[in-house]
Order: sequence, then structure tokens, then C-alpha cells
Amino acid sequence: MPVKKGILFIVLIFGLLTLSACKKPVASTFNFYEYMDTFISISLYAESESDAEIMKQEIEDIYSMYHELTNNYEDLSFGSTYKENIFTINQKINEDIEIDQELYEILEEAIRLNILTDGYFDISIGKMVDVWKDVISNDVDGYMHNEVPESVFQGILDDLVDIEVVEEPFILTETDGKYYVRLTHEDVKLDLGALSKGYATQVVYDYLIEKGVEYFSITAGSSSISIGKKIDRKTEMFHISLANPVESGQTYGMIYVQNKAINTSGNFEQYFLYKGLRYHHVISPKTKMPAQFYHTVTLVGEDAGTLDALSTALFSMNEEAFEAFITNHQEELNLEVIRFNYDETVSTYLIDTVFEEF
Amino acid sequence: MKSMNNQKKRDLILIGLLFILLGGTFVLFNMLAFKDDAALAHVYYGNSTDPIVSIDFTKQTVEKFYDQEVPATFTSTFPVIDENLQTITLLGDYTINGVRQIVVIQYNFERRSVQIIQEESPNNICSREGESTGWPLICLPNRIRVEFVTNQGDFTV
Repeated sequence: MPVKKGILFIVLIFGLLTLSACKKPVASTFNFYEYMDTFISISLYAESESDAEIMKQEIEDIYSMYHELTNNYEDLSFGSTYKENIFTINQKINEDIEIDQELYEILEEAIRLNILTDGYFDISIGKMVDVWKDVISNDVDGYMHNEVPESVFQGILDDLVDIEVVEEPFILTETDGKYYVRLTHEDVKLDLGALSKGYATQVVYDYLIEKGVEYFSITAGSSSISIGKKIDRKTEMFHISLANPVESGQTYGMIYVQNKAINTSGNFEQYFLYKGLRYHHVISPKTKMPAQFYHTVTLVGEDAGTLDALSTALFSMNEEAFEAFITNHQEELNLEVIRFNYDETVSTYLIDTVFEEF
Repeated sequence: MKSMNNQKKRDLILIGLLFILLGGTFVLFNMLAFKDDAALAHVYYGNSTDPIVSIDFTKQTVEKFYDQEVPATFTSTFPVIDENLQTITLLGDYTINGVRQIVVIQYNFERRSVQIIQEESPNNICSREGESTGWPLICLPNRIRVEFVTNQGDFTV
């Protein structure tokens, strides 16, 4: 009798194991058009359809929240539960404004990244960015991809002279569990465009990891990708092509990665031309101008928010400053770089990621 | 002596053939493996992960998979494929005075390219992207996008 029971037990265990092994993960893809002016697409393998549905809702809530909090061109939506957003903060100079903890934390992160990059990442230069963006992509008289006349270019420079880059553009304070921000100067206009997308993507990444999801990809626009492992490939590596910034539709290389964030800053989507050089929308806080050192800077690393900000900052650094940054921070940030230079050569600063140039 | 020569000749021919075979395979492999041109472009509408229309540049065909749900005020169905003008017209989600606006996509088989030639939105980002042979065209407020299928990576950054 005990022998039979033992056999029954073994059969039961074995059966359970086979059953659980047979349980196939469910593939799901969620697409969002509504947040951060970006097409966001998430593909993942969940344990069940209902699990995937819950994750979809929670992921949408994350992007929706950061979209609303960091929006710098319109007021909070009617009946919003949030205290302020970047647009409403920008209307009030020299005033302590109470904000939500989530917005406070992203602004804290912006300060950390400003210090890390020695001022090359600066969210307070929105007024300068506006001057450039208006000439690049204004609907009525924007010069997207076209040569700008000398008078218009001079007009930009004249506008920029009057706008100051402020040393301490905003101050954060926390008292009694309440969070405040104060803009310190009338030339300050906050713009989280180079951080919010990556920041929210990292929050989603951490959420998926916490939920035990292993096989997934998050793409927020064509510039920012965060990935887990690739399910239907033996190596479980994603193959990511790098777009050639000078030959539309072509790629110049491929990287093989998993459990990473990848971010590219480039000059090839929105720009105008002046005397043959591309003037794009990544504005250097050091010169108030778009820099022409590189066509694209692609970063591979750990944190999508940090990478978003760093790719912007590195884009404005000349080669010397760029190299110094890599020397000082590559190890601590586990940061890798593939750079497409203005002379169409490619420079790499890699640790263990495999890069194949075509 | 003569048979020796014949044998040498045969060897040479064999080696020659091998070289041609190897070279041919190499050329063919290069052509197939490093062909950058996309063979397909898919048009997507809304949150769907299935294409609504596919453009096959190799077969030079355009295939519609399903119709959009369209308000009763519109008399025709969407998408509309016009093979003479080489256009695909969809109904976007961007509205003016409550009326949904059309998005017109033009394709070109010879150039293996796609371009958004008409669309209503605040900044007209997607129609100003120009002609694409690989870069995705995304019309955010209209919730319509065109993506190329390439034999390269899983994603492009």
C-alpha cells in the first residue's frame, strides 16, 4: 500500500510538472499614440491573458501620468487629480508651488543629471529651444530640411542674446511631506522633453521586472528602446539596427543586446540647413546653439531615463569633453557608446556589447 | 604522359568549377544577406497589431485585410486603394469640427518607397517626413503608421 501511494505521488508530481511546463506564455502587444508625442509599443510574454490585460492598464497609467505631469504646452486636463504640471509651473516665476511627489522626483533626477554632465543636460533652457524649434518646425513658415536665409538666421541669434542660461534655475524643497518647486528667473522655462520619455520607460521596465516578466521590449519612439530577453531566439539577444543618419532608410550597423536600455540622439529628423550645416532641436546650454560634432550618439546602458538625458548631453560635447566624460563615467554607469561622426566615420566605446559595422 | 596531361586538365577544370561555384555562392549570399531594400511595408491603424493594408514591393501588389469602422455620415468604405494614383486613403482619428480627416499614403514600387501626401494634424509631422524607404512614418493624432519589414534587426534606433 505505501509503495502504491508513493508511485501515485510521483505520478502526480510528474503530471503537475509536465502541465506547468506546457503552460505557454501569452504574447501581447500594446500600442499607445496618446502620450509624450511618441508612438509607444510594448510587446511582452505574460503568464495569462488576464495578467497581460492588467499589465496593459498599469503601463498605460504610468505613461499617462508622466505625460500629464511633464506636459509643457497645455494645462492639466479638466478634473485632473494632479496639483501642477510643467506648463502651469512655467507660468509662475519666483513662487513656491506645491507639486506631486512623482513630478518632484523627476525634477530631482534632472538636477542630478545636470551635475553629472557638468551642465550639458539642462531642462531650464526651454525658451532657447522654442526659438530654434519655431524656425525648424513652425507649421506656417518652418524651414524643416530646407536652407534658411541669412536674415532669419540672424533673427534667431538676436532673439537668443536676450535669453540667459540661469545658474540655479529652480529650487526644490520638501516640508512636512509636501513638495515644492520655485523657478528663480524669468528666462527659465522648464522642458522635460529630453528626460520624461526615458524616465517613464524606466518606470515601466522596473514594473515588468517586478512582475517577473522576462521576455519583453518597450519602444518609445524610434529613439528609445528598453528590452528584456528575446523569446524565440537561441541566444535570447535582440538584434538592433542603427539607422544611417546620412542615407535615409539605410542602416550602418547592428548591436546584440538583452536586459538593456538603448537611446539615440540624432540630427536627422527635425532640422534646417544653414550654410550646409544641420541645425536641429538638441540645443547646447553652453552655446545656446545646436552642435555639429556628430550625426548620432547611440547609448547602451542600464537606465532609460539616464540614457535619454545623457545622449542629449553628449551630443553637445566636443570630442575632448566627450572622451573625458566616458573616461570618468563609463564604468560607474556601465555605459557604452556608438557614435556616427560628422565625417561619417564611426567611433565606439564598448564594454561587452557586440557591435557589427556594415 | 598523355593521360597525365588529361588528368591535370581535368583537375584544373574541377578546381576552376569549384572556384566559380564558391564565388557564385559568395556573390549570391552577399546579395541576399545584405540587401537593404525592404520587401514589404505594412500600414497599421489604431491599436491593432495586424496590418490593415500591406504593400509588397517585390510582387508589386497592395492587399487590404480589413475595413475601418466608419461613421454613417461617410458614404464610402475605408481604406480606399487607388492603383492608378498608387495611393491608399484611410480615415484618420484627427477631427476638425467633429469630422474625422483622411490620410493619403502614396507608394512607389520602383523606388520601394512610401510617403504621406495628405493629412490633417497640428504640426503635420508625418507628411513632412517626406519619402521613406525604411524609416517608419507615424501620424500620431491620426493613429496611422507605416512600417517597413526589413531582414535586418528586430528594431532600428
